[in-house]
Amino acid sequence: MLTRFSYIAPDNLEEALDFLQENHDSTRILAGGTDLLVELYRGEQVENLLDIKKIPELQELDENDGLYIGAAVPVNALLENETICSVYPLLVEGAETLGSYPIRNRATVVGNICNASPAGDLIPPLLVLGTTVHCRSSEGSREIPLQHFFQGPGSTVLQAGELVAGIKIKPHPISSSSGYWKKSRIKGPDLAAVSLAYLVDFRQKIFDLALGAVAPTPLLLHLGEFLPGLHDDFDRNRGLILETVEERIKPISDLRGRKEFRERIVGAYLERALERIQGGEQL
Amino acid sequence: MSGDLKLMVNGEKYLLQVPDHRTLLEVLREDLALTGTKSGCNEGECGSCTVLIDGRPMNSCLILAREVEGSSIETIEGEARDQQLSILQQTFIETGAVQCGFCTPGMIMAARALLDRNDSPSVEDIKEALAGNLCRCTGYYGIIEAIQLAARRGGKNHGQ
Repeated sequence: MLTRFSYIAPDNLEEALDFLQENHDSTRILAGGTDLLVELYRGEQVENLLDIKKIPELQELDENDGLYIGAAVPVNALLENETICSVYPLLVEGAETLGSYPIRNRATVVGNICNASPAGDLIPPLLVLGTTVHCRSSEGSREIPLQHFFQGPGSTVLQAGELVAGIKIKPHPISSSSGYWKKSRIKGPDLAAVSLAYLVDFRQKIFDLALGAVAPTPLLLHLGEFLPGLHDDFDRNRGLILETVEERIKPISDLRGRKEFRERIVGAYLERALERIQGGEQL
Repeated sequence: MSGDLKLMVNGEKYLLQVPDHRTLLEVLREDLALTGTKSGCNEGECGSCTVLIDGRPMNSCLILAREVEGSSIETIEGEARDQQLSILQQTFIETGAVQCGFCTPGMIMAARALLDRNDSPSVEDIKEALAGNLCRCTGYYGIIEAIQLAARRGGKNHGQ
């Protein structure tokens, strides 16, 4: 049984933001609830739960000119959208590994970000796709690049009275190669021990790499400077990239894997990505 | 705090007064005495509390009753109709997909939702759809077989 709290479910954003402004110390935002309710079962105390799912503008999913995903959009809404499935395969790969089918009916894309888990399944794909977090409060709005949104495990730069209304993803580059791998203990629903997503935009010479569960926050590394070198001297530049990545990761040992195991998996996934990029005809 | 809750469960309308902190699972089991839906892990890991909300399978332990205001809920009690087991229930019996039975209501609701969206699922489709439902007795093969058999018998429709 859960401890007592008040449930508030406004049907417009202004009302929600006003409530949050006045009660930010005592309020948690309820979207899918797939993590929040588990916390409440474990004894987390909260006075107010502010359910944002009934607010129409937070239910928006718009795939014109990039992609806009409102805070109330569940993960399965991405997987059931034909345009998203064909244009953003990377996002689909991340989404498919998140929980189970019933969990994905409930869990939201934005919730996966706001939990700020270093292992959040959707975060590496969103980082390399170029995502901006659209924040609202009763005092205004601001846009935060996703890579600057996280402060540490469970901690974001959101301020008191502020919520994430949605995220914006850039139009997908046409001339690109991408990949996503997740290492977990079992094949079924499990958090990542390591996750890695990359995206190469050959025309713009962009090579972005995102890593989950190997540092206090998900990491985004820009490796575009190595792209021409990969073509000319693959082995040397592969070594340089591996060194650059090794310097940035700070994995810990926990129940999902030892530090050394995580380092090895990052290396293996990176090799896989680099070989795939080298094989790309447009390099 | 509490509030009025209107919902439809297995085709019947209910108007309830529900405290804010009660989950859908608790309301189904304790207020409506629909104890077919099981309470297992209370973490969304085991799937024994799976019900359909507006046709979609969800973990009722992770949903507040007040969140589903105005929704239509289907539970295992809605499977059999006119004293007749559904095709899915029948094939679960025939293939030995039930041993202790604790996971069965959740399995059948997840399978019901799968057949609703895919009337001839592959083994992979079935495994994916049931990835959130744990069974510690059967080893799953009987369950997969039951769902395949139900699909062949037109299990998308309830009756025989």
